[in-house]
Amino acid sequence: MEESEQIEEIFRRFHPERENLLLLLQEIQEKVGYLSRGAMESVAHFFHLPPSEIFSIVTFYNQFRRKPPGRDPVHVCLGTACYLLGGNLILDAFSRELHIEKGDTTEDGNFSLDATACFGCCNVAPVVKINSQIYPKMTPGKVEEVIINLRDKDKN
Amino acid sequence: MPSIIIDGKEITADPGEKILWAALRSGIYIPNLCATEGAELPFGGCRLCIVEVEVGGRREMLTACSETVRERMKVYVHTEKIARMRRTAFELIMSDHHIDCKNCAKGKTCELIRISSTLKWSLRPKTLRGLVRDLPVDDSHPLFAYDPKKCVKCGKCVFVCQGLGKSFLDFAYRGFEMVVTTFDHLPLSSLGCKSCLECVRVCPTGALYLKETSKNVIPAKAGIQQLLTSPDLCSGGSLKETGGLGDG
Ligand code: SF4
Ligand code: SF4
Ligand code: FES
Repeated sequence: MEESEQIEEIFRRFHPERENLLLLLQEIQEKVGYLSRGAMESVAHFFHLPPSEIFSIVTFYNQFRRKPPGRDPVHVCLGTACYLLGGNLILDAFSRELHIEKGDTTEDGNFSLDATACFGCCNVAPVVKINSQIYPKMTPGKVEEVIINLRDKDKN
Repeated sequence: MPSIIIDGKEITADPGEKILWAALRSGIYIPNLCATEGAELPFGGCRLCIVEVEVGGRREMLTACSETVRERMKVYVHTEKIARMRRTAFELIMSDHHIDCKNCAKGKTCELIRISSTLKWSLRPKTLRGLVRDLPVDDSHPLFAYDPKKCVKCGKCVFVCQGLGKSFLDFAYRGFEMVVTTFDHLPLSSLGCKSCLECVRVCPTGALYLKETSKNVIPAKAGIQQLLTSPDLCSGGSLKETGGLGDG
């Protein structure tokens, strides 16, 4: 389904009342993967709100991304356990290796980088989740290897 | 009419009025950067207008722009504690401000300069490191430009544009990353702005400014030059006299 059709379908299930705004944005992000400029504009139109206000809300919350996720979306856990065990250092290492900031996607579309909270495997913290795989006990030193392996996999 | 006592001086206020406006009308200056008279929901973002108010024998720190006057209310504008807190608030504002007054379009009417000279503070923070962000100037609009490095996030442009039913500007992101910007950072020239220039008029700093070239284009009669340089239009003064360029 095209993005605009997916969004139209979601609009049909909501009333354009302000209290539904966040729910609807979350739903679009879940179905489409991100909130494009066009998506934000349609949402503004649907709720009769200025587009600048939608942008303000979308950028306020960490959970929304405005770029399509990469083929290998990297989720670095910053939940309590991972945070205490240096989750931020892992995030920094990915950011350095991929040359992107949190919330961004690499130009070739292969990787995106996000911080999330708790995958429920705190016993092997700090963890990173890429697609459905969990990488336990991460260190900044392991980051390069993880990326190289994924690049090789994508080539084949 | 309720009367209130500010630093020992009795003044009269309008019922339901906020302390700040009552004080300013009576010639008592309370520093302020983000207050708009008549705002339904005071923004209270800059924290420069903090005062101490006596409540049941105790003193509380409150923002004068958001606190409604009460009969015989005792307000203190200049205490040591207030001076310290206010100074920190000002340093925080200035720590990510690109201080470049010599080349700044705002020149002498800058509210930051007014505050710093009134309170005898330096513009440059003494205790905080400067952290000016690398944000681009938007000079796409024919008449005015926006330099986010001079923006103090007072929200005045946001609220005035909103009040005109346009809302081309809004806050985006949060915390240290917060900026005032357009939808998806689109250039100002692309939004359908009719150049009423109200945002430029209310901006207390050199963040939103008229372009050199536009100063010649705008007839003196329209008064924007006057408005922009009139000391009355600092945020400490009356904001009532509007009369920008209108949509024409
Ligand atoms: S906005 Fe004010 S303090 Fe900042 S550079 Fe311009 S004149 Fe100086
Ligand atoms: S651009 Fe000016 S008026 Fe708008 S928020 Fe920044 S400092 Fe305030
Ligand atoms: S907080 Fe009162 S004027 Fe800014």
